[in-house]
Amino acid sequence: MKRDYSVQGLVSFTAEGKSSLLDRFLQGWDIELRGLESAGGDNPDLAVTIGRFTPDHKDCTILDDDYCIRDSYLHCREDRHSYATWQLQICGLEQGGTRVDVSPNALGKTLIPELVVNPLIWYKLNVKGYPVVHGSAVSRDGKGYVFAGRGASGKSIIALGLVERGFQLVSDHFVILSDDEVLSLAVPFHIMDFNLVPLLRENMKMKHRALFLSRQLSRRLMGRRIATKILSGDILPQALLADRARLRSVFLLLPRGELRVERIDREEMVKHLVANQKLEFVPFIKYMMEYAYLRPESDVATYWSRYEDNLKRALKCTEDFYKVEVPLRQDERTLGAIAELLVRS
Amino acid sequence: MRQVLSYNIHDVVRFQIHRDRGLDYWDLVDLKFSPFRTESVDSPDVVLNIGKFAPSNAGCYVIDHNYHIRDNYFYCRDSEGKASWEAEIAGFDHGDTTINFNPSVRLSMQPASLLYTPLFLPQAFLLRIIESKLITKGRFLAHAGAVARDNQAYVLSGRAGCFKTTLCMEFVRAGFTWLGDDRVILGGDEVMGFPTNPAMFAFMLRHLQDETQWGLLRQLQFYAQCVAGGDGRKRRTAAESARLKAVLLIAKSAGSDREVTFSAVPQSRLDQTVERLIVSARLEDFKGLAHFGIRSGPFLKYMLAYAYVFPNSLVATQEREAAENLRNTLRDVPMYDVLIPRKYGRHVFERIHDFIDRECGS
Repeated sequence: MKRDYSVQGLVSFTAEGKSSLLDRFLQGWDIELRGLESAGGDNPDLAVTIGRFTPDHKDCTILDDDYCIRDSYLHCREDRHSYATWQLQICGLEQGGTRVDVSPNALGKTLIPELVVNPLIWYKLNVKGYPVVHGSAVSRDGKGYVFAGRGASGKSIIALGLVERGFQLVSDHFVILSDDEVLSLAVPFHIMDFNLVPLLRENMKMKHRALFLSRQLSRRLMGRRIATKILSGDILPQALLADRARLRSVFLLLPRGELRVERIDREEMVKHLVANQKLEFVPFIKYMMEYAYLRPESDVATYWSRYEDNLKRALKCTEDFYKVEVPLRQDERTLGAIAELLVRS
Repeated sequence: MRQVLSYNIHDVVRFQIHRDRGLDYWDLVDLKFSPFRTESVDSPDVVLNIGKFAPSNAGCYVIDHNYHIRDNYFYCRDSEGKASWEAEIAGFDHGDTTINFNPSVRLSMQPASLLYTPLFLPQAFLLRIIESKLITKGRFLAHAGAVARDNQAYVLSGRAGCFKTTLCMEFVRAGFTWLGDDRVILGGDEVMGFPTNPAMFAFMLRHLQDETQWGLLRQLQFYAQCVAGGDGRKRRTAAESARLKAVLLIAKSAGSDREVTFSAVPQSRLDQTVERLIVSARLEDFKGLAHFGIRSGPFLKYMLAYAYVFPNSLVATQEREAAENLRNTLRDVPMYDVLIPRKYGRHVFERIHDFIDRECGS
């Protein structure tokens, strides 16, 4: 079944694939994308199809025996991530209507949205001048505060803690920056035992609770953490959500010992954010590198310098950049201190 | 009982490997760095300790649950596929470096993991640190092969599967000397040899026409010979250097065409060629350990995590420095794109050999 999606009206795409029983247990292979569903339009920027496909190797060059590449085209014969495997073909990589075919095994399918589709969305947004930052954002009185950080840096916990203190949630996990605004990028919360904050626990519906418990059970049985994915609109009341805000401050969260706040300049912040996003692009960055190896002058090869330029431009509207060392475990005291800091700024 | 192995790479980088005696069974086959083995080195740039250690990771930033980072220091526990390990790198960014590597060897259905976890993995990490050291010393460890004649070196660069090793073998049979078939050091106006796994190369040279014949049977034969004290013991192939004469960037065509095509890369595309060589070295983070089921580029992630915390560190800015080194080395050096057919035939070597004779003189 083919669905249409739109990211803030900036990038549109379609995705098509069948759901199996396993996918259903994992909330459907497209759960990551569901928050972006919208009415269809013409000429999507990106069309993703999950299923068998026949690669076209005409005029291609073979790299690493796994990749066939020509202008604007890449085919990866086999890629894997533990037991998940897939092959993939990207047509029109450097053009408007990019077409992506992915043929994964049963486990691979559920990873495709995160490992392939998300990076392509960020890629398209960046090409259009809107850099995506790995972080969460809240707002109050129309002013937006971004908390950027790597995994386990407490960006979600801090954002949600602030929502409990009267802020609105703009976005969790990823935010889009435009000229002077921070826009939400609707991916679901990934709820696990360690980030189940009271605000989420209290608002969970019965079916979410059941899902969460089944995942707790699977963790006991298989020793593997599986996130319960819930869209912010399905769990939080609309009044607590905002779609966008004027960018006021960016906080980079680095977990260490005590709470410590240091003001940094824009250039420094941009460098942190570029490395943050590069880490987020692994393993997709591998495809970009294979392509860049053959086409070192292409848009793909110069992607990161354009990302840096876009960030610099998007962050021009403020001077409010902080490096925040947070404790390894966020507690109420840290949250309170950060909330106070925001109010003061 | 600990054993100390000392290495000297062309007086540019010196390092030591300290390990338990029990691990020396691998020497039967070969150590990656054996041509650089020497009696002893003073003040090594890098020391690799293989075995258990107690990490001193207090006061670190913790990135992605797992990477412990502070100034000039990295520590993590990591696993992928059948391998899991604990690695601590003091001097991760600058100064002398100590790598502590603890392979955790689990009983598994894949006995090979007993070999590669304690041996290949730490060597791969060591290689990355050596790569960094070479950059700070104005050189670049390229993912390429190289052969030389009359002190003139021809660098054969290309991604995996483009028959670098086969071409090196053919050139050696034709009287060239071997500087390396997977890595070579570029710097100044010269190419320094980095002949990894020389015993394996010697075996292939003797028994195989091209690398596609390197099947399971041949590999078993190779290991058997090593155990019997054959090829494996002769691991002091001289690592030498020669003046950089030309760079061939080899890639394989997906078409059915059997021809080999050459096109000169103009100096105006020097920056792009530099970019390609750097990307190729980086891609080895994903490809280098793929045989062992490690494909997620662990070391690249370590470096990115460090660059994320310390964006002004050497680790974070190293690529720019490497590009500068390479630009200086490749300036005014003839470079050629070479497209070879998907199926290897001896004519591929002959064309390239003729081309070198004709275009590059001798």
